[in-house]
Amino acid sequence: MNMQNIIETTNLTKYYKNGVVGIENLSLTVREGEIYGFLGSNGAGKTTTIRILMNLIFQTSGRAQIFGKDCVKQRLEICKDIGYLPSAVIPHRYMTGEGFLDYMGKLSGNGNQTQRRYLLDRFEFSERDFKRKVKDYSTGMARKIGIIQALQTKPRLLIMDEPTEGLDPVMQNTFYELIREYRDQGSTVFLSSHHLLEVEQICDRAGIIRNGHLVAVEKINDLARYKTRKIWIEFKSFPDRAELDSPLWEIMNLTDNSLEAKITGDIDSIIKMISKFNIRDMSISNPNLHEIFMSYYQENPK
Amino acid sequence: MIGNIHLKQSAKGIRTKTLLLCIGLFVFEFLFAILASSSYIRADLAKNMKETPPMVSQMMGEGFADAVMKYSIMAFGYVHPFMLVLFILFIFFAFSQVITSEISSGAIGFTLSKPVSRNRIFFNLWIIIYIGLGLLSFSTFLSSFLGIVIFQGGQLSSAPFGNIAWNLFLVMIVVAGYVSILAATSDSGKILFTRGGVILVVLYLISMADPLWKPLEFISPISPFKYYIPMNLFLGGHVPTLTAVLMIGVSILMFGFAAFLFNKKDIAVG
Repeated sequence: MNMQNIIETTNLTKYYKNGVVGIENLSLTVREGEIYGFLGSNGAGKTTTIRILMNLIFQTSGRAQIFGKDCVKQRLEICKDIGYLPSAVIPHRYMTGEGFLDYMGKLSGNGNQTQRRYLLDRFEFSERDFKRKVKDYSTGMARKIGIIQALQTKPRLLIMDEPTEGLDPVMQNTFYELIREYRDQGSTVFLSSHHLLEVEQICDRAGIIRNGHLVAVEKINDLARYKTRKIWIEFKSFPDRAELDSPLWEIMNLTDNSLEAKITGDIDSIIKMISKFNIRDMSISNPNLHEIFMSYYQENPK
Repeated sequence: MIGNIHLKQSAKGIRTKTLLLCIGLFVFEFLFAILASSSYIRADLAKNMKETPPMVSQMMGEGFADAVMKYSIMAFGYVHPFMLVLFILFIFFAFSQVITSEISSGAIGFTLSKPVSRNRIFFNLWIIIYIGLGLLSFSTFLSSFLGIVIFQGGQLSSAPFGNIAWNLFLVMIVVAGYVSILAATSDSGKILFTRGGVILVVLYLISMADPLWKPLEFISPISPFKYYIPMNLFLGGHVPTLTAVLMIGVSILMFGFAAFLFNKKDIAVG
């Protein structure tokens, strides 16, 4: 195993009891000091992969290693250096936020009060909220305390399953900043998400998983080429059909008063082009995961 | 060290529930003792109980024998079969909730992300459940004994009540063994409750029907209820040492087997 690889899976396969494929022959590597986004829609196999890495479930075949150690046989050694955030909400409902962080810190054998204080401030956690029971927390607050739990020991590797679910946009940005800080200080981050923009914003590389198979591993800049955006225009008065033909877009749908097209050219040129039309409304939308997969398959047919 | 932190936290989690159960059982048993000592029963029984069995008188004294006979006839003669089932099911639900909150809820995802082994988690559960059941048994001993002393009076020996509490504890740890195996194989508390409830009722029915239908004799030893013998104990009997050792051994083996299953289990939460 390459020493630079913090996570390495080889032909990792998980079949559930009812024959459902969790993941199949999944091989991926996460290098030291990078933020790796694991991108896929719901049920694609992201959580299955993470649970195998955390040794919560057992693979049917294949191998998973973290820090060059086997995830099954050497779990206890591996866990000392991992901060983990599951997708589930915090179940320790009878504890206060403070009690929960104390407990998890002690279990790590590495409770870092200074770091915890810093994180609480960054996530705007008041002393009063900190002393309240977890069962009284909103979804967002429970998520924040979960994130702080994972980060408080300054682990060498962070594994996070859809970490920003339930966070408001301001706190999402705080989270992104913190993740970058940790990366800059030498930590490696492996996070799953089904939001392309999130992965694009913070990750160095991304793996796209679909139906249990890793279909692509891309540098974030390369991922942009699959990001075909769409434009929708509603006209006050419909222009001549010939005026709408342009290499800047690929028309997908035309009605009596509207147009939907895939953007293939430069946005600035498109804006200039449509400025001569009489427009009632318009929008430009980002592609969803399905469309990205479609773009990927069109470019990489098997 | 880290395992102890988990143990301490698990104990904290169960503390309030155990305390409430102890108080509940204490009150329940105490009320039972009042019922058994009521003047109506006393008068009624006095007509039919002219003599105390000599062996009992020798061992415990007249007053004791009189009191316990009345108590046992009322409490364990008429109401015992129903009370026992309720009692065991009640504790089963309370303790299985403790187990599932540890190993079948999202908590396990957080716990296992730290350097704590699955074996240690199960070992901690074992300790906590044994202590909890011990406290519950002690609570029933204390309340029934005090209840009889206060409301019945007379020279009483605490030995039979102690033996019953000990017997109850042994039965409960075997039940806990069954629960631990079910918990180690169930994916949710709901499944555990359903399966566990059905299995316990079946085991109870087996122990009840055993004397009525010969073929059940072969299977009835697996029912922990078969070993619950309060009437014998009231009359001066003891839980045989071999039976006690076997019950403890079986319970520990069951926990061990549950830990083995838990080590192989996919945890689909957390």
